[in-house]
This record gives sequence, C-alpha cells and structure tokens, in this order.
Amino acid sequence: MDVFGYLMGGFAVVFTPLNLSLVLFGCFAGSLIGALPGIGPINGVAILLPIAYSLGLPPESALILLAGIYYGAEYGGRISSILLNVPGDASAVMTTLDGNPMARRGEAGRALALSACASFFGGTLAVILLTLFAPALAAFAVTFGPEEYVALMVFAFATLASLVGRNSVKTLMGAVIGLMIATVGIDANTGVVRYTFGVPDLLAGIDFLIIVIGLFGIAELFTLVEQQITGRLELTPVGKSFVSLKDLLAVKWTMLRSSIIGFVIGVLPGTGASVASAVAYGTEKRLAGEEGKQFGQGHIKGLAAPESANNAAAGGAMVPMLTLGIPGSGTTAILLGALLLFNVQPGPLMFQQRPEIAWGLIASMYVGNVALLVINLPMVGLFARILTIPQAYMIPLIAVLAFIGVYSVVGNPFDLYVMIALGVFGWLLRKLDFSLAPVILGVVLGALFENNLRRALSISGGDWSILVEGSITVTLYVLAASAAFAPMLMGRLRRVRYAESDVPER
Amino acid sequence: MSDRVFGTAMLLLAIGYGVIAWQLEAPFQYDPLGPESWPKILTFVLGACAVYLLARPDAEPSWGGGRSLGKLMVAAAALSAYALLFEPLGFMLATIAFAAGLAWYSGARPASAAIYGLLLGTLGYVIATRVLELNLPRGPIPF
Repeated sequence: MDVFGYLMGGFAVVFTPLNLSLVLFGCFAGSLIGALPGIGPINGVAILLPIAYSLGLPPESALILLAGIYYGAEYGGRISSILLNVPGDASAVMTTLDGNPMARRGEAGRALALSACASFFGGTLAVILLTLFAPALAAFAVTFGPEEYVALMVFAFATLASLVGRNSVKTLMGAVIGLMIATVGIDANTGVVRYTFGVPDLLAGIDFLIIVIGLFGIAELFTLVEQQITGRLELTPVGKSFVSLKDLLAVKWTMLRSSIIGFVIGVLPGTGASVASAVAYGTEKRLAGEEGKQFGQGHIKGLAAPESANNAAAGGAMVPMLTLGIPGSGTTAILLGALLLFNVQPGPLMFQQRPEIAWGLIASMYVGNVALLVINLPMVGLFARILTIPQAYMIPLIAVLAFIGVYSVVGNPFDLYVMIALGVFGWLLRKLDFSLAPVILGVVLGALFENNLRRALSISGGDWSILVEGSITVTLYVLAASAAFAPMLMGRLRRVRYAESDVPER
Repeated sequence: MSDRVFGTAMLLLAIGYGVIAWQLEAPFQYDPLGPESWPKILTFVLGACAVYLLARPDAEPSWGGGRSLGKLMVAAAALSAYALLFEPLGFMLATIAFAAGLAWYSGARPASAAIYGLLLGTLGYVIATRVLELNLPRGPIPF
C-alpha cells in the first residue's frame, strides 16, 4: 500500500466518534492551556498525561488526545503573548515581540487572526511533510542496528547540549541526571537490582508519570507561587479588527520559509519549538532588509514568522519520535513515554506493526489543525477571557489535577510525596538555569541508550570499534561533533572578528 | 555560589553513584558490558560536568529574598499536608480544605476561596469518579 492508502487508513481511525471527539477536545483543551499565561504545552501535557492514561483508552486514542493538547497549546500560546505580553512558554517568547505592540496599537483582533492563520499554515505544512518523509525515514531506519542507535542517541544529546539552554554543560548534566534516574530498578538483561536501596516500590523503576508530573506540573506550580502576579493583569481588548487577504498575501513567503525552518529544526532530535521560532524570526528580520528595522514594533512578518515556525516544529518533532523512537523535543519525549506506558515501542517498525497508531496520529493532526483554525477564529474572545482567571485559582487547580492523575494511576500515597519532592527539585533546577527537557529526554531514552550499547558490544564480543564502523554511524558522529562544536567555533570567530574591528585603522 | 553548592552536591552524587556502580555484579552475565558499565560511564560524565560547574559557575540567580522563599515553603507544606490527608479524609474533604486554603493564601478573597474550594472538591469528585471513572479515595463520606 502506498502512503495515500495508509493515510486513508489513518483517517478511518480518526473518524470514529470516540477519536474524533478526542481530537476536538484535545485541541480545545490545548488552546485553553496554551492561553493561560505561564503554562505551556509541556506542562499541559504533563499534567493531563496521567488522567489520559487512567481513562483506559486504547493507545492510539490516548496519543491522539495528548498530541491534540500538545499542538493545541502551541496554538493557544500566542493569545497570552499577544494580549498580555506574557509568553506561555519559551516557544511563544518571539510572538510577544511583534504581537503585543500590534495589540497595543488597537490591532489585537488582526494580530490574533493573522497568527492563527500562520499557525494553521505552519502546522498543516508540517503534517504534509511528516506524511511524506516519515514513512521513508522509517523504511530507512528499519535497517539500523544497535550501533546506529547509539550514534543517533549521541547525536540527539549533542544537538540538545548545543541548542537548548544557555549553558551546554548544564544541559548535558540534566540529561545525565535523567539517564541516571532511568537506571533505577531491575536490569532487564541480567536481573541485577540497581539503585533501589531495598525499596520494593523502586524495583520497576521510578514511575515515569510521577517524574513528569513532578518535574513539570508541581515545579510549574512552585514557579507560579514564586512569580505570582499581584494585582490585575492588563488585558488588551480584542477589538473588531481582523486579518485581511492583503496581510496574508504579504506574509505568504514568510510563512513558507518559517514553516520549513520550523519543521527542519523540529525534526532535529532534542530541539523543539523555542529554537525554531527564534531562528525563523532572526532569518526573516535579516531577509526583510530595511523593513527589518520595523521588527519589534508590531510588524506582521515578525508575528507570522515565529508562529508558523513553532507550530511547524511541533509537527516536525513528531518525525524522529514516530520513526526512530527518539523524541525531537521535551513534549514529544513525554508523548513517547506515554506510548511506552501502553507497551508500544515507537520506532521504525511501528509503521508496519501498529499502523493504526502511527497513521491515526498523523491523520488526526490534519483534522486537528483545521479544527484549531475553526475553533480559534471565532472563539478567541472566550480564550482571551480565560487569561483573566486569577492565579489564586490556577495554583490549587494544578495541584488537584496532579494529585488526581498520580493517585488514580498508582493508587499509592507514597508516590504523592515523591512527586512533591521532584517538584522541588525541578524548581531548583529551573532556578539554576537548567532546562528540564534534557532531564525528561534522559529518562525516556536511558534504557534504549544502554540496551543498544550493550547489544552492540555483545555483537562485537566486547570490541568497542563496532561503534564507529559503517558509514551511517560515522556520519552521525561527525554531525554530532559539528553540532556540539559549531556554536563554540562561531562564538570564537565572532570574537575574532570583533577583535579585528577593534583595531584602529591606520 | 549556588552553582558551586549544586556542583558539590552533584559531585557527591556522582561519587555515591559510582561506589554502587563498582559494586554491581551479575551472577550470570551474557553480555560483555554487564549491568555495571553503563552506570560507570554515567559516573564519569556527571563527575566531569560537576567539576566544570565548580570551576566555572554561572552568575548567581536571584533567589527572591526571604518572603518569596517563605511563600514557597508554605506551598510545599500545603502540598505535603494535602498528600498526608488525601487518603484519610478522602478526595472531597481534603480538596475542599486544600484548594480553599491555597487559593486564599494566593490572594483570593476568603468567601470566593471557600466557594472555589467547595466547587473544586465536589464537582471534581463527581466528574473524576462518575464521568471519567477514575479511582480516588472516598474517605469517611459514604458515597
């Protein structure tokens, strides 16, 4: 069967009453969560993951729901950025730069509608690219042996360290902490018990759900308590202005370029929407030339670029998750963990063995993007009103949802304390300028990384040179090295150039 | 300073983690690496990162002073109390008390906080247990 046939199979999965309502609900809930200031896609998915898990849905339905929340939140993030100048998360920061000035000029409606269209464009283009490339990549990746997987993992962590966070050593450290958390429990190959300290609850490892909800949900709650906005937020009225066809035509190339940039960056393992929106914004600013000087004062291209890019990145991040089983962002790491909870191992074989999951998810993203546009254009006023919910009510709500989720899955009050402790730890890491995505990536990839390394060395009989045999592995290590050292080299080159320009001319 | 403290903690963690790693031994080992090699590798990477952090710490983050830390302690205490009472009191009562208390502490008016707590506790319980069929502690309330 060709791609089109599989895609139709996916649509058949989506257009069942249950899955269709889950797509719509996920998109709606995601938009709400994204619109809330301070709560981004990753926290939203983390808080709702245990509840989605304990509903007893089949895996494809649960994934369709969670993915809907993910890209819905990516969509809704622009609302608080534009109206409040408060980004929901890192990927929405660039949207504030031109979105909020437009709103303050009285063009909030135009800004919201334009960014909705840009989001739709980016999201849809990304799903189309995903449909075309994912099966091909999966077919190619089927031939990967354990040594290629080890190289892929090294590549993922190298791009992560160089692109995420300000301090790459801290990013690496976060990833190692995650990898260490993943070693707790019984070693599947030998049955040896590691790092459980005699606690029987730890034999199966620390529950993924508790880690996610502690590090993201509870840590987020602490951050909200700390940065609590006292007094009322100043909400810019939405007004009657709307996007015109002229606006859309003016930004069509911006949207196309930014979507492609977003998709490619999203595909790179480890990097997600925040990097994509920053790169797209910078590129458009440079390409705009003279016009670029108006960026930051409410220019429509400056608004369309990051919005197309971050939604395209959300789609792109699905590619490595579905085809290789290596997530492209922190949020897809959580989705991958969700699949593992259902005993589904994402990877190249999933397209053949569980097509209803892979293709159902892809088809649901087509439906979801259309639904988001339809929901968002007329209902933006409702979402804007969500922004005025005082944080005093948000803070207990996050805790209650987290408690319901953890308790209904594990049914053990001990784990509630573990979750709170992880929340404090996550807050501390954020305070020290660590990003949490590498930690969760480490937790999710830990077992895969170790097992592939051990399998590779079993094949070679303990000879480490197997890791650098074959053209694919060598290419990946070269890419990893260039990803790791490129920013350093660029920084040095720039410094050299500055130093040269400092030399007074004679 | 904060980075140095954290770096020291991580160095100690690496050492402790390494000590255990070097004691791991499999009775029957089928692969050349065994259960101990991977933890050994992680020990070195974490140790190296910790030493780097000790040598070149970032600028001090703003800890926000005593008031902000106090608020965090209250939030952590409230969460712990909620966890402690979650099973004995049941979801409904524990949530009413917790949500009303924390909402009030976070700046809501007492009456609105109380109403909010009541709504969240009762509606939350009904939706979670009846509609979504999740498992939540009932506590002393007989329905």
